[in-house]
Amino acid sequence: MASADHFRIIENCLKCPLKEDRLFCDLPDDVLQDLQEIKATSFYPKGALLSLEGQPPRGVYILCTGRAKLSSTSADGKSIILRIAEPGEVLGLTAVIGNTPYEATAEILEPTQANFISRQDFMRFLDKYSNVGMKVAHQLTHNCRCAYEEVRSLGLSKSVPEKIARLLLQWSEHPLAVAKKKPGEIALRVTLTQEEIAQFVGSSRETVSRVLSDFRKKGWLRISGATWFIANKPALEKLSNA
Amino acid sequence: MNAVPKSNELYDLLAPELRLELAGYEEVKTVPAATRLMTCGRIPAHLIILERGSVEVLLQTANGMLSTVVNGGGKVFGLREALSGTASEADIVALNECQVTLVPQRRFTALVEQHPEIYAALARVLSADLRIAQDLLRRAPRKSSSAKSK
Repeated sequence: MASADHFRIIENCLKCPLKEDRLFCDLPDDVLQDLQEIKATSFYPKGALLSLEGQPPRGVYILCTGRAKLSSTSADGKSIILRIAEPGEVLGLTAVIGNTPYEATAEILEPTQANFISRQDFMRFLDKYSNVGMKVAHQLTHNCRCAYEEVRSLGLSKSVPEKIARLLLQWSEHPLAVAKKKPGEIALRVTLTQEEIAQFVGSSRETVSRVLSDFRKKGWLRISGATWFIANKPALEKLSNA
Repeated sequence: MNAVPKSNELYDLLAPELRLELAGYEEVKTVPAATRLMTCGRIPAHLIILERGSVEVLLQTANGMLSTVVNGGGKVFGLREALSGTASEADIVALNECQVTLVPQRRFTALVEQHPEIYAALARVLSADLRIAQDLLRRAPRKSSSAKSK
């Protein structure tokens, strides 16, 4: 059960203990002071929608804690998961900068604090501070690279086990620090359902279930509720690169 | 140096003095059709500004080359690579005779360090690039081979 501390809101960006760990928030105090004045902090429950695909760009959301699922509609009308946004990311950048509709729906995956900045304020903030421009440019570069990598991966016709192995390895780049894990294990917080994982890898829930069961039998993966433990990373890497 | 100020997606967002400084490093070339202007996996030595002609951006996959977009004059390539210092993720191939302007990447990154206000302009250009990449991701086929998943 989540403690009250788990839901504590950090109102002041200048005093945020996480700012140095966050890609966007590691900014000088004068910039953070300005950010403090233009942002609105809210706490969102699992399932809350920050933005809806196709809607006009009201502003950006900085994910302070928690993660969000970015999904879109494919050419054949199916819901597809583009990626999982991690803490420290700014959501809605392309829409706000280009003044075009949001290109993805952002759904909160776990209780999350996010700071909202209106489009007008964000554009002013971006133009005023070069280090904000630098952070934004680097995030866009990273996101673009990830998108091309994903396209390349989808075109590779990899098997479902290969794709799931790759997904687990991606998630392991943001390991869970506090979980009770065995030596050598990497803990992950997985709040996606098997149906959602299936959407991610272009498969069915049944196949995902079968593959995860196989990984567990082989001792590569241990699952304890929403906490998953990668027990054999080399095996997943080998499968992913097969 | 060019007498007529150039117009492209990056320069249009820069202050005149920055455009002038970049102009001092430019080298203009005309390349024939099928010239590979950028190669996947290699760190480009230059920013490539497409002045005239059209190029195709190709992504290498196991199933062959995937055409992602065709660009015409005014497009600037190599910005992401310049910012991140990483190799190109795509091939860029001239579809017809093209006129390109090359700006050495090290000159460009040095200018960005001296004038970090350029980042805001870069963010605008990269934002448009990301939109294209995400659109491609949306359109990409997702069905897995069932035979291998057994």
